[in-house]
Amino acid sequence: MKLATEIGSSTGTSLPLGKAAEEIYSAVIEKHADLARKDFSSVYKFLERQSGPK
Amino acid sequence: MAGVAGAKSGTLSFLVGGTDEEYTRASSILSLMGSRIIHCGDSGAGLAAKICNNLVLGVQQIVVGEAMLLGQRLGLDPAVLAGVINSSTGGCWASSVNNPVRGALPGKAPPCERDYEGGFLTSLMLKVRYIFSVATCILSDHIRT
Repeated sequence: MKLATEIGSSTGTSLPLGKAAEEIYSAVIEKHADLARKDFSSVYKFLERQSGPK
Repeated sequence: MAGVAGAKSGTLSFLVGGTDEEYTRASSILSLMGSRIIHCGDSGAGLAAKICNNLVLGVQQIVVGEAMLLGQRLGLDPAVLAGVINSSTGGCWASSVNNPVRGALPGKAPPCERDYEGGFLTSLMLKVRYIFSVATCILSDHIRT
């Protein structure tokens, strides 16, 4: 993701969803070390944890 | 199919940049390892295409997770919801092969079925410093123009 967003920056290309995704994966890696070592589809677990009770 | 799963099943795709001659020369070797070999353009074009594809994938995997989470909170069965998405306009690799919810893809074995082990590590989504510097060198001609 960072590769795309950094090249986006260097080419002046607007990538708002790419940036948002990069921030989400950054949050997973920084705050959920267990998920950082899993497949990136575990971002689903992150979303679950971020969500409030039903 | 890509990554570990693609390598195992021999279905890797190769995105090639270079002259026609270089592409032809490389194809004879690459065809032994993968089923699709795409000539994307001049040197660097294969990498550019790869980066763009990964941008789509990174975003899609998150939004599929969002939709699967929301659907379950609305009372939908994950397998039913995945079936709807995968036969509708929202279907993509992240929903049909790498679906993040257990039981959403009956008969398939995405990473979520083994507690997300294997596959592509989240930490690698951002650890691209070295690759970035290489990519910048390769793409610098394209960026300048």
